[in-house]
Amino acid sequence: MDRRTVAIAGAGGAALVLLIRVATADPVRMWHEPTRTLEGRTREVVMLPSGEDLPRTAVTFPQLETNGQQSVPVPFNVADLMLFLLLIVVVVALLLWRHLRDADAEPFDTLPDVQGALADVVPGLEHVLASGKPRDAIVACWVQLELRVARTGLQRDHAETSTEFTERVLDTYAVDRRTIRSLADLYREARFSRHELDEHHRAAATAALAELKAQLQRATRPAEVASG
Amino acid sequence: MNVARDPGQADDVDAVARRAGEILDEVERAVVGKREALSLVLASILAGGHILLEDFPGLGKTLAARSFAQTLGLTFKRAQFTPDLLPADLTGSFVFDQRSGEFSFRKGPLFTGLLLADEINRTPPKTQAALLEAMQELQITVEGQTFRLPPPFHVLATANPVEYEGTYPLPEAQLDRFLMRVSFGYPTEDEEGDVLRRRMARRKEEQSLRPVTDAAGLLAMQTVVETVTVDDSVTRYCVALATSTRRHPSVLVGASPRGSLALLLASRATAVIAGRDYVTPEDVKHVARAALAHRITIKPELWMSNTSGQSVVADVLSTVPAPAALDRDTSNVG
Repeated sequence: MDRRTVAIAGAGGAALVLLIRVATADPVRMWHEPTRTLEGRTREVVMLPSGEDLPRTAVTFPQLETNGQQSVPVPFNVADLMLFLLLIVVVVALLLWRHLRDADAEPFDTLPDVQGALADVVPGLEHVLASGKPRDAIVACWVQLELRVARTGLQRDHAETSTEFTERVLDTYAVDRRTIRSLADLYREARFSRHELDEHHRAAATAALAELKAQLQRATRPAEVASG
Repeated sequence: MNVARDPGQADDVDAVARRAGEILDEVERAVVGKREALSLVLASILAGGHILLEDFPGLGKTLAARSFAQTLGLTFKRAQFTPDLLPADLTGSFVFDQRSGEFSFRKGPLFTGLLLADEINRTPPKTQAALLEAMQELQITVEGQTFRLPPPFHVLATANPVEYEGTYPLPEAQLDRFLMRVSFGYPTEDEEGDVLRRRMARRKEEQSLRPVTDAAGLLAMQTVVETVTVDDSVTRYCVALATSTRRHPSVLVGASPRGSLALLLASRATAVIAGRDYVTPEDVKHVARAALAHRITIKPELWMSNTSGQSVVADVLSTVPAPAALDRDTSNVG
């Protein structure tokens, strides 16, 4: 439920209350209702557009007994007015609560630090790649990468393939395309093929990882120089 | 268990990938700028299936079919479907030969390598059924005698999506027989300019292409496609996509098991064209629209909405979980 829905619901509720009250109120006086009862000589005086009255021999129409009130009755009574005001207060309170809640959320201009996350995890990945069979090592390496990137807020959607996720990471952040793509290609070969993977594949993954590490170091070094 | 990489198989896949690239390059000399659509058509042919080209007039459907026939080295026949076309006009019939005093069978256009069935939605259901039966069974029965259609036999059917006057739309059960439905779409301005420039450079109407392979070569390529491995998670993904179309709220009838089979066959061929001997979920997603959209029937009350087979497939692709790293087939470990 967003702000607009709440506002519309509140206004709709208030309008409904008003409608119910008007429908169940005392009959509203007609504008040309006579002020006297049937006992007296009653005549409807209907004003013509020209300003003249109809001839005084016009037929009299029986009228309902009136209350004899001179003023137009107000459709609200005090209880209804309170209810209406209460509704307004509730709607305003809801809007205020939502505004305060949204203010606690992350501000838009904070991006997850994927480069930082990758820089953290790359040394650990070298160890993962070096252990076990090439196929398991490459898949484990990719899983660790995905998990680390997910922790920065860029989670792989369950319907996304690894290519789509990679492209999304690459499109969003300035990480080198060739390196990540070659790692992703090796991951897909390890994950979905049945032919044997040998040390050649492990070496290719290690080389890609080393290249990525070097790029990340180069990317963070200018910041160190600037601060240093 | 790891299968040791058969160097022969790897070479085969590489050779097929190279040849597929050459075929597409050659066809692109005639059909400008439609590489992705052309590779879908080639994937269908390598998977042994038939293709429905649904497009507005003048977008190169006949040209593409003729170009593929020339490049693949297949015999090419064109059948223009009209409302008065009879099944015998397609299959052939027995004709009395006065000299020998016997009936001899005169073969119809179905006896060919690549058949272009132009405007398949202009012919009555009986003729459509004759064609579709030949596509399915790869044989024809005329007056009690059965004739096998020698492989390879592929049909490229065309249909114009706009015309409704005097057409007999293919029923859903028949649409299911086509492995893929492909549209080329209008070319970009640059591509259209390129078409005109090439025509002027050629100085003649017909475009002749170099045959890259022949019927036997195509059969060999199809055999290699059969050796591509498919991980169990990818197979389950194909099935999940097809079953999701059946459960979609806008769908009256979803894709049948033919749909999941089509996904599998087409994605294997796509993998080979890309030079791989394994299928990835990306291959499945790549062929999903072409392989599934025409098998889906939308609820009739949604005729005014933008819902179509394409939109349902797009929905399904963005909701069905793709195979992840950690749920791989454990028999693969090694």
